[in-house]
Amino acid sequence: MITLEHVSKTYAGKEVKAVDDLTWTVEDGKITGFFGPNGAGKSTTLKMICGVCSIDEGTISLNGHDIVEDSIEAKRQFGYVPDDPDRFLRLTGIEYLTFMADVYGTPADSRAPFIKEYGERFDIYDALSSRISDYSHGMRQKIHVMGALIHNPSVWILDEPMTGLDPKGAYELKEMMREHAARGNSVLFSTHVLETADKLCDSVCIVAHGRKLFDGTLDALKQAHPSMSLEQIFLEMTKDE
Amino acid sequence: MNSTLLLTRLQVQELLGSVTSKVEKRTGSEGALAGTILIGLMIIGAAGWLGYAAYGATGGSMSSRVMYDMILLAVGAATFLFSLPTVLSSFFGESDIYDLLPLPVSSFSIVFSKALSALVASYMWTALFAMGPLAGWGIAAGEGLSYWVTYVAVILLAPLMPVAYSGTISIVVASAFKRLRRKDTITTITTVLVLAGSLAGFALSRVISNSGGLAEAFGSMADTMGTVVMAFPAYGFAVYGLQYPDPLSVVMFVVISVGSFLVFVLVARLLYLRVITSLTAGGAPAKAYEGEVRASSTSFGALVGVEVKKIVRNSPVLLNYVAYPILVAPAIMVFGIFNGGLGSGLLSNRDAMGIIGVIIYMLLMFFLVVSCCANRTSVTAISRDGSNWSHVKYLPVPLETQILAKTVPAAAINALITVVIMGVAGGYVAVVGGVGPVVPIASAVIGLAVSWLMACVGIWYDARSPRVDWGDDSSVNTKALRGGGGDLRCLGVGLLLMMTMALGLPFLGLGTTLGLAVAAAVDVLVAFLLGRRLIASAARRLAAFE
Repeated sequence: MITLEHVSKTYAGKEVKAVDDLTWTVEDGKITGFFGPNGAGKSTTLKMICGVCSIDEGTISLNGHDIVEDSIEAKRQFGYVPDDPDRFLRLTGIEYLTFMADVYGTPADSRAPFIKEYGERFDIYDALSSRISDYSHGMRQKIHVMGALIHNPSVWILDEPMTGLDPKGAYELKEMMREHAARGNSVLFSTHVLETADKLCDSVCIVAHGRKLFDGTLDALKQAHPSMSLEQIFLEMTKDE
Repeated sequence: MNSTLLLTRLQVQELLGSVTSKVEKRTGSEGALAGTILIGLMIIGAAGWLGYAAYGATGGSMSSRVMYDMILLAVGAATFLFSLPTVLSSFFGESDIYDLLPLPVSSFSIVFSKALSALVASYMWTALFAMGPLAGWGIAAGEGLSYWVTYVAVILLAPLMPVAYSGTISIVVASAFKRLRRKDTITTITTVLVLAGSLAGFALSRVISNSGGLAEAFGSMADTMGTVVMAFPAYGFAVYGLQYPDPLSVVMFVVISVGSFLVFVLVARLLYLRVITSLTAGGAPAKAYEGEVRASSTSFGALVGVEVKKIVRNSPVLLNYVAYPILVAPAIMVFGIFNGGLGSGLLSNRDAMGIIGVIIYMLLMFFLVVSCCANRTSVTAISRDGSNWSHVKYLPVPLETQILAKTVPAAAINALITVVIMGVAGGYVAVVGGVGPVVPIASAVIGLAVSWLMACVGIWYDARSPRVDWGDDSSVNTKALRGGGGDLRCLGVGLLLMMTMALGLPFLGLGTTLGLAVAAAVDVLVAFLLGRRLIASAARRLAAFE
């Protein structure tokens, strides 16, 4: 579970708040979609949740651990997949996975089965000996998803995870997200592809100009806007923003 | 032919555009290229005056041959060395080939235009080494028409043969080895060639200067030059044509130069396009993963391991920040001292080895500090990550531990430098000079303390304002690699700590041996305590950085 209480953030030198008094809970057992127009504050919010950006006001906690006061334990609770997969390019796939497993303290005996299962599901098992710099964009995305999940975190935070994935990779990732949520865990992801979110999400949070426009279940959102697709609802809600 | 000229013009325009933007970026002003060209013309003029003055100073037919050999050797060597990476860059570093291949132009035109583009980039060395000096020399000597005809031919065609050599070698080798086509490797090759050229020039100067008196030196130099210049057969004809009115020599020079360049183009035509059209995006993995999973390491060990891999697998960083400080700088400095007779002269005076030994070790310590300053792995530890830097924020490891993990490899490189200088050179002094064990051991301990503190200062400086506004770490970013002044701060701190060796002795009044031992203990304590504070401060700075 991720809990945000009256969170605000203003970047140095700017007058407008990037995130303005955001209160929101990402519940366990659900896949939560996080949407907004460009510049709405989505990336800033995700970075604050992960501890990359500081929080000016309010608190963020992950499974009860405050990201500021108890940062190390809070960071152990989640696996984060950033939107840029061009990272650790000088390592081979297996070296990167081993590094992430070491950093998160993943037991040795659980690594091999995870690598085998997810490597084969993503169809990159045979490429793990190659350097990440030799991977295509989609392969890099996949290896970073594996790296974020190797320590079996209860909270998954994925920023635009479908970008660059082939159809099979995208399907497998969506199945993994469903399986993870079904086990009572939290999945939070941001995306611009609302059709995917429409089929995948249990809850949604829509932001614009740093402020929350909607936070609730997808069913409740659709009931409030009957006969409209998620895309149409989103455009309607953000048209004046 | 039309398409060849069009493509060549395109390549040259791109080259000029790239140079212009680099100059304007560096100087911060538009129109700086015109200023740069003006400065270039002034340099050529100054070189011309040197040629003129050289004729007046030497004169004589023998020195004419030496002069022409020297000039053409400089042109040939510099053009060969620096056109290697230029050819690689032109053929493999630019992505325009995928725009050119679908065009209705012949593949010969594409290859020829790229070869011409590499050739145009190489004229700088001819302008620098030949244009001015040969003109000045010819004016001073009152040379006739045949000299000036040969002069024009040399200026126009001198780069062809060295570019043909380097181009052929580059294309053949790069066709066989995929890794040589990467931008990193091209940068590495440039650095290796510069180092090799510097060392070769240094060694050649030592050989020539050891050849007795001036006349003997000139004689051996003339023979050396005459032999080496025959590596470029066309140049032999050029030298003859400059010395004597012989049209046949000029014709042979032109034919061999142009012929060698055409051979290069034909080899490139044969190999290059086959390599390019067989490349696929991403590339196939070299070896399938076989399921091995390493035993787990601690998070600190994992972090240090990643930092080491990032250094070792980044060829320019490995060469400039590791190999150069460990091997080249100490070797030149120490060689310079002992070959100059200073070391042996002083070491033979065993009665005075007490204080002289300390002075020698202080000198070695100075070289150590300067060499450690050249190791910029700590002052670029965060900046080298570029846009990927933020992973340090979301990993469940305290920032202080991550900073320490980034510092350890840098400190290890500094420790290696200490071993090379204080261990090898210092050991030599200890054995030959009969110095007791305390002085070399204390000096080595001080060296290790200094090298640790310099690494801590480096990362503390980088954490203040990391230069991460560039891409990912797959390519070398010169802005991030410059060190931003942090290396000078490391130098200052290193020198300051080193001075405790000198200051401590008279003030403490403990004598050389005991004074050095105390200075070593103090330095270790200072390095440890101050290093811890610097690491903690660096972590706080990085925590505030967004």
